[in-house]
Amino acid sequence: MSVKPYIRLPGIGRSWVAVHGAWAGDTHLLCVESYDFMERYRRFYYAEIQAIVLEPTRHRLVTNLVAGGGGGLLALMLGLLFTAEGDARAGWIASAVVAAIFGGAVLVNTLLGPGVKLTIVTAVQAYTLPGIRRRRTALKFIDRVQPRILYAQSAPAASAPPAPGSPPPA
Amino acid sequence: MTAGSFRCTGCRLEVSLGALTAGANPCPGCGRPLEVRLYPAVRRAARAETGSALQGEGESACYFHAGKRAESACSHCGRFLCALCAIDFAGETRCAACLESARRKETAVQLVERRVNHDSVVLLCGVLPVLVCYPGFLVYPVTGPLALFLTVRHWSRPLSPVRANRWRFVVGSLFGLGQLVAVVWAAVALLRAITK
Repeated sequence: MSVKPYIRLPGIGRSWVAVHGAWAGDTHLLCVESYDFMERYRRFYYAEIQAIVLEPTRHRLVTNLVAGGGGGLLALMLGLLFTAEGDARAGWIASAVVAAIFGGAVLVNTLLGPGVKLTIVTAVQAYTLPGIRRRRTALKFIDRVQPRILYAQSAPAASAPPAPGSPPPA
Repeated sequence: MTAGSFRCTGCRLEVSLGALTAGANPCPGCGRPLEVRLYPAVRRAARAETGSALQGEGESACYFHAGKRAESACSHCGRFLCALCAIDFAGETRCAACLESARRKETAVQLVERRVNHDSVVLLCGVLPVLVCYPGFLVYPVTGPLALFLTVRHWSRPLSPVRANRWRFVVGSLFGLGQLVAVVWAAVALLRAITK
């Protein structure tokens, strides 16, 4: 059985045109932007990564405002529409269903945790990973990548490097 | 120390890592809480390898700098290289010319910056017309052979580094073959109907 050269890391983000992901290799971190039929790659060698910076964002708040406000408005409009048609009961039911859907989305969004931006900093560039938007995902990402960075930047040791496709020793 | 820097999302101020400590730091510009994890590379001084001059007649000279002593050889072309010209790459020593050649020919996967996923194109050509059913049938004469051609043409090309196998090629070409069979069958049926 062949060993995969890259291991997928937590954090997949989708924009309007691309899917962003990060993969851990033996010597470097590979960030992939996938378009329909093309991929772009950025590589960050573990030995060159100087810092990982987490900045808080308002992603969760904005999403809650949009979903909550939009859902509330839609529920209200549906209720008024049905009521104007003479069927208040149907209006209540429709409003309740819409409110439940959007309320559930707000609840899930809240439970997913606060939003962050994760930036990898080297001597010559700083790159914000588009696929990481939640603190929980960012911490998982750091847990997977940090040992590799520290291993690559440590003094030459007697132990062998990690086998391809496997996480480095703790 | 050549510490990197990044731009704060809030105030767009360029923040140098040299001004930060590990852990929680407020942004010097707007005070946003930044969580920073610093690694040993931030304290590493940049090496400025310029190569040493030739000391005597018996020493080999760099291929690109005749006055500098050769300290290694390119593992690809064998040219002697001084410290300035020797590039550590994937565990080997290479010269800039071989590195550029590897980048252009895509023989070194670590240098590839972008790649067309021909296997995805084949999968689309093979599967989408079939899924679209009746209107898709009209394009079978094009997409079927195209899927097969692209499979043959690009089968041996390097895949995306994050894709493990070529299943898209296989599935796409099978569907393409099916489209071709459907086109031939329809053509034969039409011919028979005309000649009756």
